[in-house]
Amino acid sequence: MGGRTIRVIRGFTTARYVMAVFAVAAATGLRLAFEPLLGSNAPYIIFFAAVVVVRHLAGRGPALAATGMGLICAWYFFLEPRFSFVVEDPGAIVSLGLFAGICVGISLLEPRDRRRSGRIARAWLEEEFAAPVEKSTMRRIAMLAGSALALGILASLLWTGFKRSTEAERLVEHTYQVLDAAGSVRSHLERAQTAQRGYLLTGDQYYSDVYQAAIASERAAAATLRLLTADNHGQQVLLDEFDRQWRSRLDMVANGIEVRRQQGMAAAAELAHANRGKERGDRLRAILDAVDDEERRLLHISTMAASAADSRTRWTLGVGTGSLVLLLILAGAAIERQIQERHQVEKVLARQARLIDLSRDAVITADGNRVITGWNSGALEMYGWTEEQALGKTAHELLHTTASIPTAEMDGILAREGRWEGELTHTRSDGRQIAVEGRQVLQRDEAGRPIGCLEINRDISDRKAAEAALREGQEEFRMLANAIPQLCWMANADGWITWYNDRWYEYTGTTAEQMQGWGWQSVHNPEALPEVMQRWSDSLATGERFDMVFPLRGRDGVFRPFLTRVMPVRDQGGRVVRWFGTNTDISEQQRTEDEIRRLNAELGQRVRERTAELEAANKELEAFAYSVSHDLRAPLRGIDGWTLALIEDFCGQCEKLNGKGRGYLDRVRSETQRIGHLIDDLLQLSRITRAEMHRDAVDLSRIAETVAARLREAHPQRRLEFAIRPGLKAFGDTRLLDVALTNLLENAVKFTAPRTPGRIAFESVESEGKPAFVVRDNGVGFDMAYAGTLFGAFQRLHSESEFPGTGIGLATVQRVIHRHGGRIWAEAEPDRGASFYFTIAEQK
Amino acid sequence: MNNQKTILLIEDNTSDVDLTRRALEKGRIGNQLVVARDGEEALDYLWGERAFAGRDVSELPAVTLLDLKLPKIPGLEVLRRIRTDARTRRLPVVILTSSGEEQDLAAGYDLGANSYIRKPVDFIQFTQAIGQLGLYWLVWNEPPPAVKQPSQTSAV
Repeated sequence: MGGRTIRVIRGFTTARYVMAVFAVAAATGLRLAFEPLLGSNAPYIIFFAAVVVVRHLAGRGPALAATGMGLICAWYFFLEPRFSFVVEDPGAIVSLGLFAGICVGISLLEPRDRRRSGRIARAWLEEEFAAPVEKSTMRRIAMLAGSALALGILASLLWTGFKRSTEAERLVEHTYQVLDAAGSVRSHLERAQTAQRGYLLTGDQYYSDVYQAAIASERAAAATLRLLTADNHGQQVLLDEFDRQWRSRLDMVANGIEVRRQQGMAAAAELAHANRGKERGDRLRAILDAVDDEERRLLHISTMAASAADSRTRWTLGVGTGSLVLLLILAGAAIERQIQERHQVEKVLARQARLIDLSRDAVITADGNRVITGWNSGALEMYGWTEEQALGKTAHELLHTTASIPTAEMDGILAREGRWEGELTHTRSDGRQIAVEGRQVLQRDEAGRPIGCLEINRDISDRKAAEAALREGQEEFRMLANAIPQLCWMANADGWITWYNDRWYEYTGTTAEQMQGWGWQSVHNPEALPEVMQRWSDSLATGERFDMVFPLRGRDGVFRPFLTRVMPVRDQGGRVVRWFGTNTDISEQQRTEDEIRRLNAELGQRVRERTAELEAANKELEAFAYSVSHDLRAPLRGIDGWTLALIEDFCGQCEKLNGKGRGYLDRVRSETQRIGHLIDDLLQLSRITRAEMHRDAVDLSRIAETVAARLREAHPQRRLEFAIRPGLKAFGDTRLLDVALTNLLENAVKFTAPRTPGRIAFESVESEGKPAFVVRDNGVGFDMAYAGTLFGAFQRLHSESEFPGTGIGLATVQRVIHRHGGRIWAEAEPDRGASFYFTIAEQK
Repeated sequence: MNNQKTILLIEDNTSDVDLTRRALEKGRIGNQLVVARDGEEALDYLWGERAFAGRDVSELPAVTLLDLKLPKIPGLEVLRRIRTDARTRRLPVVILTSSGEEQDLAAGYDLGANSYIRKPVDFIQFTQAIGQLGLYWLVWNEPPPAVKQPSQTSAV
């Protein structure tokens, strides 16, 4: 709270109390104005009204003040006896007590709840609102000064009026005293004359005594009269004359009395008759009358003056009271407006206070001694202490403040510089320590004494933890960056390199100073550098990542190829904020790649050589097969032909040749033909192996049907029943699959020779989750013990005489199936038929 | 049987020549069998050159039986030349060979062979084949018309 703020509040308070004074003054005035009507009745009624008004407009304090002042005024002005604090009637004491009690009650009555409006907020924002409020305060002070002046003038006028009235009354009183005194002189004079006369006549001592007493009394009265009229010169002159007359008269009387005593009664009587006693007495009376007349004239003047003063006072009172009422109304309006403003401010304050309470920061106010006076909900939340617990303590003792510097030093800085900012450690109510960012501002009064302190603290434990985590992360990053075998570095968005890992310096043998920014160019090959610069500039301009291989010079002066990859690091808006680059030594890799290339080239060469060799071998094989096909058969045909010629031409003529010889010749022919078949089958097997594959969708069922038809035709004498499931398809080479099926079906026909009918089936089954084809027959079957040799070339399970064959058929079938990526196997039992299964790889 | 018509057998194997001749006889085909022992001789005969100079080349054989494996000029080359020369372009040529190789079959037909017979090892079958072949080409087959070529006469 600044000095300025306090002045404003004091101004407020003053205005409110001035209003109380005004109200009581106005009430007094009004009551005085109603005096002729009310007399001494209802001395308090108007003061009740004043207290109620003050309570409503100015609040509790001023109302209590008005109560006190009203009590005094009523007591002094309106309780009998008036204008004094003397109380004669015990009922008046009771009535005073009642008045005081009721008014205190009215004052303490709480019209509405205005208690909670954020102490801290008020402290802060009253300062904020101080400037505008101050302006109206100046106006108000001027108004108050005017009002006070008017009140002073009114009071002095009233005072003068009252004084004048009192003076007039005093003068009337005085006049009556003078008249009394004059009357008294006159009567004592009469008594003295009468007593003197009696003595003169009688000579009786009694009369002489009476006369002496009367003279003494008259002297006393005359002295009183002289005293009373001391302020009136004319009267003093008359009294001087009176005294002179009186003394000559007294001499005469004394002479008369002496004459009577010495000469007797007659002389005295004669003297009494002779002298002019009577004349002298009349003269004395005439002077006294003149004094009376003067006094009566003065009385008249005084009475007139008193009446005029009364009327003036009444006017003054009326006008003054009217003015006071007017002032009261104006003041009331002004105060009402201020109160409205105040409410407005309080409303803002309350809103701001709510905002401050919404703040998660701890906002703490303290007085000049650092004793806490305000504690927001942020502080409650942050420290766990409630406002009630916190108020009256200092923050240091409540929160066990520790900082990097001793708290005393901290307070010293605050006292010296008026503010302190820094990080603190505070202990919460639950004993947990929290890191706090604190700001403390000291407030001073005009004399520079600290009167308050505002402390705003923020819990930065999370931030500290995050910072620590970040530091740790950075530490880990550095460790990682220095652990990897790559060189790596970071650059600003503009390509200025700010950091290299240790590996960079180890490899290049440079220092951080040499490398900073664009220093890296010194370890580049000057020939490669322009392209590197170009590509790097392009990446910097576009924000695209950079990938390039270029040589870097090592500390040994040798350039080694490095694969360099630079990734842009972007912020949330996608802007490049940093570049992160790595250089990976790929000399080893390149050596390896070169080696691989060399080996590949060698391998290719070798493969080409081998392929050529293989091709040559294949050509030879083909040539061989061709020769076999052509040249081997030709002599066989010759042997067969000439053997037959021998049989045809000579067997009939030669007895020997016709018997056993004929049998031998027939055997020559059959062996020859067997060799012919063998050659044909071998050629087919060879062809199957060499033939190029043309894979396509193949309808196996149709092939089987065609083969079956051919076989039926070839064996018209046999009853053959083929059961061929239609629609069996595979993906393969039609010609080769034709060969395979032909061989299998021919085999089936051959081995069902003893059966009538020979039943042969071609269908599909499932084997190990894949489709398999099967050719079954009801033929002679075989012993599974020999199944292993079944598919080898020249392998036979039956004798030639029983079932003719070369033993190459199944070998051929197996080769076809293998070339199709399939598998072939057989199941059989002697005399129970055989089943040949095969699979063909799916289309890729 | 038209005995003027000749059969040209181009074959180097004596045994096969004799067996062929025997088979023709067995088939009662008495036409003249001209045998050329190699491809060159065959072409000389057909075109009336060298040893056969002066032969009337307009007298084309009714059918030519061509073996593929021949000395000097192989059978398929012989066929190619026969077909490229205008005089022999239409000459019926039957390939008679031991080879059952697919590429031979394909090449033979591609070069314009009129038929392709694989000699069976079994001589009975061989005899049947030759007999039917002779009968077909000599009796039933209408020979192609002679090709008139002015250059031909001048060349002789």
